[in-house]
Amino acid sequence: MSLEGIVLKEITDICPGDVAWFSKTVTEADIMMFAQLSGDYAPQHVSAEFGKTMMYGSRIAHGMLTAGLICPVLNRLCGDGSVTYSQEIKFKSAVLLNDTVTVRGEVTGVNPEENKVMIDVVCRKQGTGPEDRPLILATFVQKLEILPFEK
Amino acid sequence: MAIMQFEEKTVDSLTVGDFALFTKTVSETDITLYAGISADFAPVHMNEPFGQGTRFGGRVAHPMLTGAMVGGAIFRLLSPGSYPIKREFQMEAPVYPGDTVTIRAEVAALDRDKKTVSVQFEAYNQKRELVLCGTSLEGMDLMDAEINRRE
Repeated sequence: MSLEGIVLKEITDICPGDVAWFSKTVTEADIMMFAQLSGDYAPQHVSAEFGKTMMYGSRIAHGMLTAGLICPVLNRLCGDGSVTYSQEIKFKSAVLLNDTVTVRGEVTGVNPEENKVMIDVVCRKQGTGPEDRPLILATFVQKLEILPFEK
Repeated sequence: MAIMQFEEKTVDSLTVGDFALFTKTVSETDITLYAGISADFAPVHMNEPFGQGTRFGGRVAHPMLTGAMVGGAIFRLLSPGSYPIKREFQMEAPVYPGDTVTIRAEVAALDRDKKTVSVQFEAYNQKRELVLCGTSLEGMDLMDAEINRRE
């Protein structure tokens, strides 16, 4: 098959300190599509009226929607031949409708024996810096193991 | 201000062992929409010949899509009134387009002082193979003034 446009990385191509970024505005379309995909129709996500009664004064995005925005960063760090082995996600603050989320991922460790890459992730919203509460803190273990075919 | 029609669930209305199920067939549409939301267009999810060359033998759903469906089960178990504080999970087997995934979420522990619930969840496919398992710490005081995510 053609591997045009596909980025394959060896474990030796990935080093601690590698960094990748991704940024996206979370719109109503995202939240409603995510509710349909996940089956999570909790009122804080789908009801504008309920959102007004919360301290935020707005609907908020699903935590796992924001966590999903981490995946492009993992792909950039580890290439297209990696899958997530395990993950731990801490939800620290809420994403409001039309907030812009910026994800930063950094490789913290590489295990060549097991083909595993450890990645620390922090998600922040627009207008916040390192001293502010982040949206998400997460750690991911990616594994480079899905490719039996010849490169 | 509209009167909210929600009867909020609380830690006190829950018992260890309470559970909820959420079942859904993961379609091509789900994978395409999830790729759009998360911007995760990795070829293992989007490119069939590439998928066939991997050890999965075909294109697979995003692990985070199955992770998102955990929200569907937790929504049925705890909402309205809950929000995630920390979620950890591990993929055990791939989910293929057309697979029917059932999520089972169960109350594993309650902390009535901190108003948190530990939820244990598992996802199975139609062959009753485990595809994902993990735990989630959920806050139950969404409507309280101080919603800042606690560790």
